[in-house]
Amino acid sequence: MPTFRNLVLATALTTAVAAPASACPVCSRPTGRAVRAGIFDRRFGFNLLAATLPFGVCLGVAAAVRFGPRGGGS
Amino acid sequence: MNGQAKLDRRPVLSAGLLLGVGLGGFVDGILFHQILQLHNMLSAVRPPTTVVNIEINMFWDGLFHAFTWAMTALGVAALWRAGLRDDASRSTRTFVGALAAGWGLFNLVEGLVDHHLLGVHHVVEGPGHLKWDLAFLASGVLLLTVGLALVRAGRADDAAADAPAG
Repeated sequence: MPTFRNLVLATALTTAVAAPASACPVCSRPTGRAVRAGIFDRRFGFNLLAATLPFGVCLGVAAAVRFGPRGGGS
Repeated sequence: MNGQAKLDRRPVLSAGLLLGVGLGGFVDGILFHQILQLHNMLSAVRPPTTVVNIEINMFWDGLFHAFTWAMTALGVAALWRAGLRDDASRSTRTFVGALAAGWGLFNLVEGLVDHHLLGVHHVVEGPGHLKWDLAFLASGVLLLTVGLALVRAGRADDAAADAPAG
């Protein structure tokens, strides 16, 4: 039982002082607010374009293959 | 042989392409972003040297993985629909070729857009990043070439399947 109690104590302490938890984008801590501000800054549209454009192009190619003319045989 | 296959190769080709793009994107995200940590989505403009920048990059890496997941899910759906059709090709070479071509297409397009055109990150961040970026593009060309060769070879599978028995 002491082992179990120590485990619970260690988990509680780790959870309470976990730095990443206070830095998450939805956390209302100074670091969390800074992360949120950094995500939704004036480059947001540009960054969104960088994240989506490659997939958009690839999706367009796949759609062109799927709905394009039917290829011939060998 | 009349030169016109009855089997439709488009469903399995498009499904393979989508799955190749998705799985290739996961290789990039899991291997380069997470395991090796060579770069992150915005590591050229927001170097991951502070907790805030690491968290911002983690957000954009997550968005990248979300789109990668969506492409994979679309590929699975397209493959399922292809499997329900009687006239869809079932050539393994065509499917594997489309997978490789999709991966190559992803490397080529992502490399050109994110590494060279927008410059939001490089394969390996640092002064000598150009050679790694060019190697990434070369891997895309290689995968695309091998994939297209397999797709072309797969035509013979469909022609054989179309041939009347006896």
